[in-house]
Amino acid sequence: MEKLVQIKGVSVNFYTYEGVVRALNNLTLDIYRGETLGLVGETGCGKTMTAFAILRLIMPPGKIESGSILFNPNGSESVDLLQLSENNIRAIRGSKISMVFQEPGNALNPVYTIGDQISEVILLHRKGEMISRAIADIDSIEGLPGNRWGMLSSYFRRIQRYLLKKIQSNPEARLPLIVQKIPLARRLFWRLNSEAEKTALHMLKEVDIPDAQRILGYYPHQLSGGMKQRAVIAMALACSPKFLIADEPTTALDVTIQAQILELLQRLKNEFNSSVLYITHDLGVAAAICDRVGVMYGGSIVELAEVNELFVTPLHPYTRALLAAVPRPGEEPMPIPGYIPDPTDPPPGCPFHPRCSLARDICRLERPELREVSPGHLISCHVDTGESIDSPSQN
Amino acid sequence: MKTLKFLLFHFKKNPLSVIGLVIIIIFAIIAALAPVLAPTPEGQFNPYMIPRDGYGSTPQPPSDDHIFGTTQGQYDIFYGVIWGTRTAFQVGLVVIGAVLVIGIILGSLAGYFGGIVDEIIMRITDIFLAFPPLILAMAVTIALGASIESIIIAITVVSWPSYARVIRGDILAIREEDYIEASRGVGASHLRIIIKHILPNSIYPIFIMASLDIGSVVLTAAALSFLGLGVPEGYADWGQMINFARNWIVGTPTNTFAYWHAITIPGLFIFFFVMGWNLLGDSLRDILDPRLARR
Amino acid sequence: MLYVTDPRQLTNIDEIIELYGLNAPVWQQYFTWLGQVFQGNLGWSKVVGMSVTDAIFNFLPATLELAIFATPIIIIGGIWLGTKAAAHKDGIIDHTTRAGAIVGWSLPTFWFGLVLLMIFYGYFRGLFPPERLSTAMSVLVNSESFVRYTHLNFIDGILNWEWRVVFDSLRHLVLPVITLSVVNIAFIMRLMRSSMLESLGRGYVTTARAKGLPEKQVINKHARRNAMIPVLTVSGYLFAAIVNGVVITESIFNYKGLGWWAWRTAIQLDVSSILGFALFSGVLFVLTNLVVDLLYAKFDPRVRLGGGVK
Repeated sequence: MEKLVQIKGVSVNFYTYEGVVRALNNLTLDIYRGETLGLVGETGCGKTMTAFAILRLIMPPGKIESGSILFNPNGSESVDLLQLSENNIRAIRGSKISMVFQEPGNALNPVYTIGDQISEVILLHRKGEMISRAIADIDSIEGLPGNRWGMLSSYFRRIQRYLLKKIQSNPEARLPLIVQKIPLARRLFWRLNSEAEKTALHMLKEVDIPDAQRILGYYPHQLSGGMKQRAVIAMALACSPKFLIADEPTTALDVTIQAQILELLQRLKNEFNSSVLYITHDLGVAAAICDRVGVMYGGSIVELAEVNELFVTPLHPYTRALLAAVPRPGEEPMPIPGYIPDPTDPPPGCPFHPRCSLARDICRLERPELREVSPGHLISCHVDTGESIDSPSQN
Repeated sequence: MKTLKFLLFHFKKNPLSVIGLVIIIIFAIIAALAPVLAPTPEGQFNPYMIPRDGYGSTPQPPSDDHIFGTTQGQYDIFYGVIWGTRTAFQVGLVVIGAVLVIGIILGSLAGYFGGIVDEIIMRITDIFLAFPPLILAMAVTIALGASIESIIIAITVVSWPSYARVIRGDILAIREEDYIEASRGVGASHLRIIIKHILPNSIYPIFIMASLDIGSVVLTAAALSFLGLGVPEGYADWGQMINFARNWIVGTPTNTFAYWHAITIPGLFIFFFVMGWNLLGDSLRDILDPRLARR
Repeated sequence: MLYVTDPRQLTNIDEIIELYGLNAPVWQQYFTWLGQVFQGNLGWSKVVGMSVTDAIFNFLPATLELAIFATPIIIIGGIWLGTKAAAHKDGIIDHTTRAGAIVGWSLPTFWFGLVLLMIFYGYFRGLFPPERLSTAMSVLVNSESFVRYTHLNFIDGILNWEWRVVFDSLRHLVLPVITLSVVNIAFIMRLMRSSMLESLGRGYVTTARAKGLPEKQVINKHARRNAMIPVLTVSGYLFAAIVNGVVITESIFNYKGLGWWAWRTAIQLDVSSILGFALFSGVLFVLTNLVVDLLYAKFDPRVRLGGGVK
């Protein structure tokens, strides 16, 4: 399979009053075309930061210190997302790579309608398409026999067509930009907005929102959580991105809605043939929908494998502890001893060693590399745990 | 300890706040040392009355006798601004103290008990808030006669409603929190709940408001005395000193700035005093507010 | 006893007390006053020698002229500066505008106005003079040939096609408007800045960036709209602040508007005038808040539509 995204050695630091927080520590991860990769881990291990790093949304006091993220949407050549200019990365955001957030209520702007917000992203990245459609629309009317207001409306139509053509040939054209700023003259672009709205409507229907036409005019506070999240998904997929990042999209929703959203994401992923990075702390969900799963701890990947392999034969001590910690009926809960590391003062060497039952001296000194121990199965650990599966108390 | 580290970091990031603190400390020292810096002349009973060197109306420029010169009526400017610092601190701190007490009590009662108590208190605050503050202060000052106390009372009367409202709002928000329910569940009395739980959590915005307000209280007091209300003539008050200077701003036909000292010096004192408090309050707010939001 | 200024009146005191009902208990006097108010009689302002109602209408246009110029400057300037400061937080612009705001907020209005007068009227030989109009223009404005449609000098000047009047009245307005604006811009700017900072920390801003919107659009279109809502709430208080500022500003510049009148009546203990003025500003304040509430609905759809489909 081809690689869509290659994250190589990305480190992200946050400079806060409590010290320097190492959010991502030499992160390396590959995402293949057409797969759903799950990213699991506890709160604070850097999952969301990974998503932000890909889209270069890390804001001060955060800073991407090193590394590269290669992105290969067309199968031809890769670009390093971290080196792109502002304009170029903006062209990718929302169109080639899209993100769905955890709290749909927060993600939507309360003072604009759903339709407005979806149209916004369509007009941003699919403008050319909308313009062509609008022009075609005008042309089709011109062909019809005129009516009483014919002369006048024909005149207006010609102005609109002229302006649209201008933008089409040169997106930076001055005249249309000026017209755009004048309140009443702005109305000349109504066809463009209506085309975008039609597309937005189509997207809303794709995500199974009932009564989509009415919802277009609704404000976010008028929708329930599940509907809001569907709208956000519609917004994210409006420009058919090759890569969708879903950051705990169902954490804030009811379990029943969760199932619907998951099913929706699966369907859309297949339809649009995109890759999905599914971030979650819910192991069950990861097991259900992902092709491969990566486990994160302390800002880097500790284990990465095919979903079945990971859950049946976990190799990293943390993954094992995590799976063992899942409460089962009739059994004592088995929490992982200790606490997640202080982000400003991480332990030396392997980040997990203070809580690891298999820790050796080397774990205190050297940070393990991510290496492939069996085909497609990578872990970052000094201990070869192939044999030690049944002796967790060894020290 | 952590709070201190937090505060220090932010102070470092925000040099303006340090400047504010320094300014206030300097003024405090001036106020404390007033009798030393500008000794009251022999035989004068009330140290707050500015000594007059004659009765001529034209302000005199700075000289050996009068370091900052004199203003209209031959009042010594130096004496006036030094003792004026004391007046400013008096007015500012007393008003803010009174306003805090009244506002917190009434606001807590209104917020905690709700119902008819709330309604009554809110209507009262509405009445007070319907008037532009300065106008109301003017009216009260006039009614109470010319003295520094009437200014203090007037400004207190005008300011307490906003504080009561803010406290009430905070309490309304906190009242619904679970830990209040929990306290009631274990049988805590109303008073105990208010003092131990609600107030500590809602106090931050109030203190920010208060520190920012000292500046505007002093400005209002100065405005009142500038307009000629409140303080008796010759009292050491910055606002009044500017009032004395207002007829002399155009100077002489040859030199517009002939009497600059009469107006500039008291004005600068007011300006820096208020600015010191504003800088402090502003950075306090910058520090505490994002913390409340971010955490 | 507030009305007694002339010792000779003392002999008539009993009569006067009878006439004005001053021997009735306070609350009864209050109701009498209230009754009079509803009949449009607010009493007599002896300071200016006309009834209080007349006085209010007489002095209103002058203050209105001030307000018309000052308010947009304050609101638009404050919002723009606040947005810029928040968008470039901790940058040069932020620190400069904030320092400027602190300076503005700490300035005693009256002192600032006097200093301005000193410089621009004294030093620059009458460049920006006090009061409303110069003597020559005053004569013109009050003459037969000049029709006072609105009593707002600069508008009347335009309507009468007397450009000298327009120019003159604008010239007199410069300093008072500046004095009035400086303090209040600072206030609005600080509020806008903190409101913007909060808005910029919300999820929808991250979403907007993730959609690929240019930063300028993120700030102006998404963040600012939400940030303006608290500023709107404050508009009521801004109005009160302007009325405050007007009293001081007008007294400094001898600008004969409502503020000036209020000041003179206050000094001379003209009770009915003060009450009348307080009443007037109270009513105006309530009306302003009403308008603000209505505007609120326009800006915040949550208020407009309440609940909805669930």
